[in-house]
Amino acid sequence: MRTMPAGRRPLTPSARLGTLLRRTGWTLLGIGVLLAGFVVYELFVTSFFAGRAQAGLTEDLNARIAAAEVQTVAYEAGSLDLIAVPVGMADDVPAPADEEVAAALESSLGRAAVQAVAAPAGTAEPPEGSIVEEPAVPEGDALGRIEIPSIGLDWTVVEGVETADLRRGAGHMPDTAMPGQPGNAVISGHRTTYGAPFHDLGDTGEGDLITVTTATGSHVYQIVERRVVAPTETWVTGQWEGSWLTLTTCHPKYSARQRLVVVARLVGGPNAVTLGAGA
Amino acid sequence: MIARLAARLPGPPAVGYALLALAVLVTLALLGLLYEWVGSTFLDTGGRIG
Repeated sequence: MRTMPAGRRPLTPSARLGTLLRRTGWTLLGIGVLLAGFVVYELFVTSFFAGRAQAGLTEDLNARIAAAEVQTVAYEAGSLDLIAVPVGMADDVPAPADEEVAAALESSLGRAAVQAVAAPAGTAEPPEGSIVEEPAVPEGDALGRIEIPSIGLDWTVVEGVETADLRRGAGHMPDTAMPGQPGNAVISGHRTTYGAPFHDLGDTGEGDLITVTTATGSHVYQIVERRVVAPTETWVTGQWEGSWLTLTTCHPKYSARQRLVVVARLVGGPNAVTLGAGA
Repeated sequence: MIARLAARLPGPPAVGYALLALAVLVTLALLGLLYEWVGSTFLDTGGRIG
């Protein structure tokens, strides 16, 4: 049996209650500080890191585009191992007016960051039946710039979708087509952390234009489909006939339970005549 | 409070302060790792498919 040390009086019930309340209060305060730290870290600290990484990536992108050797190659439909476009995709979205596509191209190419190097490739279309080929980009390097004017999105895209890649910006999934090339280019991005490049992707609508500028020029896509799928639905990364762009991000916001998928078809740029919707 | 904590640690006060600073840094680093894991697992994986 425990005995009370000499000189110490037993605590009264009210004193015990006070001690309990004080300890509970400190514990709750500690939990609150930890949670507040979590929110600050996820929303602000990660975005700070992403912002710094983006600045470096943009410089790398400009250097890469300036040094890239772009080649025009012959392309014949059916020459690649592409699969049929999923049924119902893009059925009810009318193609944009030529002026709209031209304005998107001009707006993108007019940006100082890509103007000097991208304009020649972006404006000079290869002859019909041929395409400009995107040079390979090592994983972790800057691949291009994605812009969606309707939601104010403007980010440099990194090659790769590993955790470290996506901390620096939107990432292009290796083994999927390069933007502007035959097949389906898949680009993933954070929705709430690390600068949240795809935070407002849910606000896009069918018909909105997306511009991706790479070493081969500016490629304009038109959004034709938005879906919410499970993270395991890999059909959205399928390599479909034609030229497509698929953007993926977490859904709903602040949850990794599902994926919001935005699918767009190529409507403008150097390869649109050969690969685009009207081809 | 920091001075009292430093005084409780073994060795001269300067060593106590250094140990405390190290403990704070280690705690912050562990917290950062914990936040990173929770965030990238439950909050936002980056939108990867598959």
